Amino acid sequence: MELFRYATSVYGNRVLLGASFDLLQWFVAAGVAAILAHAIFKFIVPSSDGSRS
Amino acid sequence: MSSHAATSTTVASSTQAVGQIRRHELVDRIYHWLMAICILTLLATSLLPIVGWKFAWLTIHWITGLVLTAGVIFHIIRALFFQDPMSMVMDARDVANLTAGGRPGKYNLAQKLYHLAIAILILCGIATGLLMLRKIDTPFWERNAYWFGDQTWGAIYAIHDLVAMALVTMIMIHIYFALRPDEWHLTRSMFRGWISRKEYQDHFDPKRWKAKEEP
Repeated sequence: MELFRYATSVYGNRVLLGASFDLLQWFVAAGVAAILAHAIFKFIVPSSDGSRS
Repeated sequence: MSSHAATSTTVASSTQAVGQIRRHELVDRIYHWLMAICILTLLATSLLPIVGWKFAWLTIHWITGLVLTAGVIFHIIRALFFQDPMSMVMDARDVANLTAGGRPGKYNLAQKLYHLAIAILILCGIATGLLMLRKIDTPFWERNAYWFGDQTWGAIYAIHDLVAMALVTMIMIHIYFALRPDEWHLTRSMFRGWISRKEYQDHFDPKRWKAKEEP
């Protein structure tokens, strides 16, 4: 998987275009992972009033 | 008339008994929701074409970006000169609370870290976005694609792209916390401006957040 997008200029140079949008799925996965990790943590560790959420 | 007066008195007494604490002024709530609309519009107009939904997105995108920029400038001025900017700054007590379990001030450590991260991302997005405006024609200026060299433009675009994708992660987390039942009092306060006195006493340290009663 590429981290960046490149093109070839008229002079034959490799030119940076931007970040690769293939990374989008990993950013979404990071969000899902953070949410799941917090939800599991809050379920396992009761809050100060003894409840689980 | 007397019936209306009696009803008003009852409501006033009821409010007094329950007690409400002002958390967000109306202008700050309007700012929050305007920023939410802007960010979601910017993400939709930039990322939907990438996943295959093609439409004329550029004009909506840059105009929304300018609205976001104006909003952020307003927020910075208001936060620095008309609010308490230190309420959003991390200090040793926030770190100590992690183990000691003390109550936070107006914002807890996680909220301060989130605000710091989102501020960095949005400021980077705005800075690179403003530079990228030089590459498009608008009613106000003509494009100049040679303002920077290819590699510099590439770096600017890369930062802007990474900011957009990171904002997706951040918004997912933000919405998750807003929907959690143990955070509903904070979510409600972003709609209606207040939390109850009981919520204030249960969740916050009055010494660190000297809140105002709801008028």
